[in-house]
Amino acid sequence: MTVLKMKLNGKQVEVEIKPSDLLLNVLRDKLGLMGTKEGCGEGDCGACTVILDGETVTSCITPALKAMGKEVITIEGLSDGKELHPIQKAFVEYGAIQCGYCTPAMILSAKALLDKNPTPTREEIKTAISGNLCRCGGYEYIIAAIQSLIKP
Amino acid sequence: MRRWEQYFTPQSLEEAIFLLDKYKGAGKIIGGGTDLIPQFRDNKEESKYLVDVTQIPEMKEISLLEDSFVIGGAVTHAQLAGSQDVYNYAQVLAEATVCVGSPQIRNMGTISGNIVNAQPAADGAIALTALDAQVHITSADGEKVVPITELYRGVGKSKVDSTIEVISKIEFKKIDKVQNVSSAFERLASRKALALPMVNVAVCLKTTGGQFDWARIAIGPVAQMPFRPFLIEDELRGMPTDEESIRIIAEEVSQLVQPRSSKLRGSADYRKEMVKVLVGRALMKAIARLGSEPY
Amino acid sequence: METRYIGKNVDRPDAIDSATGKLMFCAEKRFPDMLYAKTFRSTQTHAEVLEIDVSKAAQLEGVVAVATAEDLPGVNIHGIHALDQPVLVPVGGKVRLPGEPIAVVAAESIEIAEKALELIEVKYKPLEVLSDPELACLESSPQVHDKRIVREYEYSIGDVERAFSEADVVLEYTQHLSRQEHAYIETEAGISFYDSDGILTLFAPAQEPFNTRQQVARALAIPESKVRAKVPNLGGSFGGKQSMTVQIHTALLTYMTKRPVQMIWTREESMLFSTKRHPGRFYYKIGATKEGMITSMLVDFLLDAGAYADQTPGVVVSAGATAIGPYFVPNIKVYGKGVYTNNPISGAFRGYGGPQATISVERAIDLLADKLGIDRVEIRRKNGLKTGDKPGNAVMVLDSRVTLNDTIEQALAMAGPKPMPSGKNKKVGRGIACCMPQFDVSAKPYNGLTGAGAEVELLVDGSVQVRTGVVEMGSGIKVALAMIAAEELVLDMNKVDVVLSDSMLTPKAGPTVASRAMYCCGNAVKAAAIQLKDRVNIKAAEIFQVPKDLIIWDNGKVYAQGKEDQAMKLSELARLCYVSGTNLVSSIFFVGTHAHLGHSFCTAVADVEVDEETGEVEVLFLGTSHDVGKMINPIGVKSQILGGGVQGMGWALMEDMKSENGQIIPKNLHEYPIPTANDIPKRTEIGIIEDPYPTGPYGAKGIGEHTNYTSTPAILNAIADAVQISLDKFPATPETVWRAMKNRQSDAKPLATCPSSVLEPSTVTV
Ligand SMILES: Cc1cc2nc3c(=O)[nH]c(=O)nc-3n(C[C@H](O)[C@H](O)[C@H](O)COP(=O)(O)OP(=O)(O)OC[C@H]3O[C@@H](n4cnc5c(N)ncnc54)[C@H](O)[C@@H]3O)c2cc1C
Ligand code: FES
Ligand code: FES
Repeated sequence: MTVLKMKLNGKQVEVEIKPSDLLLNVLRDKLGLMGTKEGCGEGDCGACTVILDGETVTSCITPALKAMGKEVITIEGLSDGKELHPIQKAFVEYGAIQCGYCTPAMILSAKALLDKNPTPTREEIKTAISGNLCRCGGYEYIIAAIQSLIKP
Repeated sequence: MRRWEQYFTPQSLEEAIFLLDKYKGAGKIIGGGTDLIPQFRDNKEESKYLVDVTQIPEMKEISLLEDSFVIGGAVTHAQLAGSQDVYNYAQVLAEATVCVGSPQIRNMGTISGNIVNAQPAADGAIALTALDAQVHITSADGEKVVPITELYRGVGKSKVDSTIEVISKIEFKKIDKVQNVSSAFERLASRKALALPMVNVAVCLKTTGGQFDWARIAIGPVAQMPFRPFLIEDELRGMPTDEESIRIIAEEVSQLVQPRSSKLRGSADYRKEMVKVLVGRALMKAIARLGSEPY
Repeated sequence: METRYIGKNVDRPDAIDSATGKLMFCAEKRFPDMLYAKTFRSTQTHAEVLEIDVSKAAQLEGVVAVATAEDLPGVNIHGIHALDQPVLVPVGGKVRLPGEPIAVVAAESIEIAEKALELIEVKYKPLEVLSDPELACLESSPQVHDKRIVREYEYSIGDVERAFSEADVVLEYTQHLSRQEHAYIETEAGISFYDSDGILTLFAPAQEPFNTRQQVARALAIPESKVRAKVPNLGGSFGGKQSMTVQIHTALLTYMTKRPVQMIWTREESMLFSTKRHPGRFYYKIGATKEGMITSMLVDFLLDAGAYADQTPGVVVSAGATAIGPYFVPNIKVYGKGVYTNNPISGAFRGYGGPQATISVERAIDLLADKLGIDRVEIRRKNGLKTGDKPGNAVMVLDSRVTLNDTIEQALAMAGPKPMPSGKNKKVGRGIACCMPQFDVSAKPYNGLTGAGAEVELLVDGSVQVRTGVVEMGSGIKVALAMIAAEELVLDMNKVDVVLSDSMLTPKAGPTVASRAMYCCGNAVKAAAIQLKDRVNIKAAEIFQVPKDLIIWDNGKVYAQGKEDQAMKLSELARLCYVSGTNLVSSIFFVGTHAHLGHSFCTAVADVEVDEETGEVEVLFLGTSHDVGKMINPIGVKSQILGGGVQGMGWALMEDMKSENGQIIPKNLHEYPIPTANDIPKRTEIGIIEDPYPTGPYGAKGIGEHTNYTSTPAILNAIADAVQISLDKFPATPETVWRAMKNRQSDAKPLATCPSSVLEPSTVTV
């Protein structure tokens, strides 16, 4: 056992883990943050995406100890519980959500993009979410939701 | 899924080497883990101690020197794909790394992992092969510098033994249009993200007065490792950089390669034909990048 | 008519939950003393099981139970339309495809459960494998089940043979269809536990809780009343989560250990053992006059059911009913069958056999047009069904306006001029495809469905709860039903809650399939709300001393017409009803009144660019026009159309769950590619026609599956148009297109072929 210390959704946390734990399992099973999903466990679907020091990673193939001393943002870190984050709001309004299984990760990929590039082109948006499979919605409304957040 | 027992995150190369040395074969380097962790999951990997090199500052740097590039061993695909220097002076590498997997995979996966995983069509390695990269390998015994083409033992088998050795940096000559040197990358896959290539081709070349000075062509997956048609590259010297010569060269390369049939990534005859198309396109594109039309 | 919610975009409350990461799926439930279950699966394709030894696994520390067929107290069988599938293959039984479950383990951790699997030993006697469905009916072929054919379909009208002999032109064409994987992002996951009343409770990945309840009870030999199945939310399903997957296994392990048991399939297990879209082939022979009027159609189709019947009986019928397309044909003969093989089990997949038929007939119509030298749009306009016509099957009646042409014109208008190729070696093509998709209307038992129950309850605080048994799997049915209740009761949306898919709390409403939820449950909820209002109005009339039709409901207030100032709060009225004995729960079981199946129309137009050197295809445009009757929640409808279109595009271009000798080849989501955001059409348009369905709620027709019929054939037709290839096999991967182009040069002959089985259906054994 070892102690993983990281800044998680703005708060410093310490959690006892096995050195062989994956970040996804620590988030879901040790910290109860169920918004991060597993769809494949192999990096192929992106449902487990979280933001690690500003970059999206697939937490299912990320050793938890890679987060040591770093900042992790999961979907639970986006809204303060009262107001939805603008990206969350846009996803709801633009019909970007169907079954919702891909959604938390998709929103995080959108956030990582917009944080770096507030005025992405359609192609840049597509590429930014190209590691997040959505089988329900065909992506078009996800792109529209992200585009709606571009300030002219 | 198999599991490792301990996970180390050294802050210096020396420390990493020390750890590998200490565990004598039971330890292993991990970069992004995008190849290694799935291998643990499939019970194909059983190292007990993982040594993570991605927190070693000097291994994360991309340095553009006077006439060469030095890429740290833990530089990610995303870093390479996003670097203006790489775009300007090693475009083939920028184009190749932006094709790897997805943003998430590019954020994690490193260029060294791409080499050591030793897949014959690894995008980064294909580009580095065309760039004739020199790989710096450090171990308890010291440092050696080996050309990338000499690092392969077979499909998935690298001569770099990451239980005792670390790729600390990778070096190659910069591709400078001013010197009439240019590069390009072409790739064919089943979809436009998250897809391993059916065929990929990287070229670097230099021209003088409408003729090829030299060209390096790297192709995957048509052999046990990234493939270079050395004889044809020799033949190219002095040939005009026109469409007809390129057609002939591409045809010859295609005749030479022996791709395998894959149930998921294309039959041999199709791949052979695509080698022709992509080699032709890559050469044309690289020549076009030199400013003048390709004849 | 001015509406409150119907026809307006309404945010889904459950979408807010998923955007914040709070939405509950089966894998999210946790109990402190929960066990983790794993399945020991057959590696053989077709084999007799001689011996099963689980003793070593059972002794492993941390293993709490290992179950084999012997541990099953009830009947070792399950299935949807036919009971032919073992829950766990017993000694002496046989495995019929790879991945078939033989034992299940419950352990204190997943790692232990995985380790236990390695200790299980099974001895098999391999049997000959049947992997080619075309050979399934031969006496000499290996026998997978006692019977070889799962289900046949026959329909005929007129005299096709005479019509062919009189036709100016006869076209023959055979379309082969690849196997598509649902590839929902949530794999199968479930949990079971005993609740405090001793009821075996399941969180099940299912499209209907009642079916799970029934199948679990049968396998465990306990009364259905002792089982509760609840479907929280599904992370995608598209027909794929109808069969028993984890349910009976977790229930059995809970039954044995008395502890909560969770099972989550890995992606590989999901690909290995979930059901797929039926692969197969459709042979067409079409006779026409030289003016392009179709006089006869003969269809012979074959669907590969795989190792078990699952949904094949229904899919065969549905495919047969779609085989003629939205065309009027006076002489028809359709024969089709689904056969057992040792291949992956085929089940329901968005459209239920309809897309297979639509692809085939729409390719054939294009080829007929080409043969006749007639415009491909014109031939569809000419032969399209007209209001009052009889469609080419026995299960539909065209009882509303035929809007086929409206959809054709709208789709073409959206398409605009055909784009120009972007460069050398690039060819652009345009394709069109039309369809008359079906939806269940709960009129007669069709594919085992009838009726949909719903309850609407007014609570004394003035809030309303709607309860019905359908499942939310992403289509937005939950918010749509809330909108209907809020509309009828003139309430604010936030006063209405919807509870779905719990066998203990919600009325039976049939499965969430066949694009039926909106039509059937929408009607049920609407009727229940009206009934409730009516009942409450009796009390209100008494209070306000006016006839009950003068009572007005307005946003949580109730008053007599013209006397708004004397309004009473709905909560107060509810309380008065309650204390005076009015039943505030109204309950409706909706049963349809007309044809077996409802219908609607749609047309897709696609533009593609083909790279002549590599065979790569880029979809430049996809525009689909749907007659949806009435959009209840427009954004939800449009998002269905987008998603279904891209799913169909994936099938057209890249998706193929190949198998070899019964063993699937792609085992993960990169070996089986589905479209990423980078692969979607460059431009997409959605066209909506709202021609109200006479019996639909507010005129609504089905939509969910309909979005998945036409994008595939429109894209295939566009590719064929661009580079003149047959595409009798797809997906149109770069290599497939390249090879077809290569063969085109050496052999430019017509491409139709005739399989030997056609016209001789009676020679096969049933
Ligand atoms: C979903 C997905 C998609 C992918 N798509 C592509 C693709 O399109 N194209 C492509 O080429 N690859 C692809 N890959 C493969 C992989 O991402 C790349 O090969 C990546 O570059 C590997 O780097 P890594 O740092 O993650 O390696 P790791 O997994 O960390 O390591 C791989 C091997 O390299 C060794 N190693 C790593 N760093 C060093 C070092 N500095 N010195 C010595 N040995 C080292 C390790 O010991 C191990 O043996 C994909 C992977 C996934 C999961
Ligand atoms: S679960 Fe991590 S990428 Fe699919
Ligand atoms: S909404 Fe279902 S996978 Fe994206």
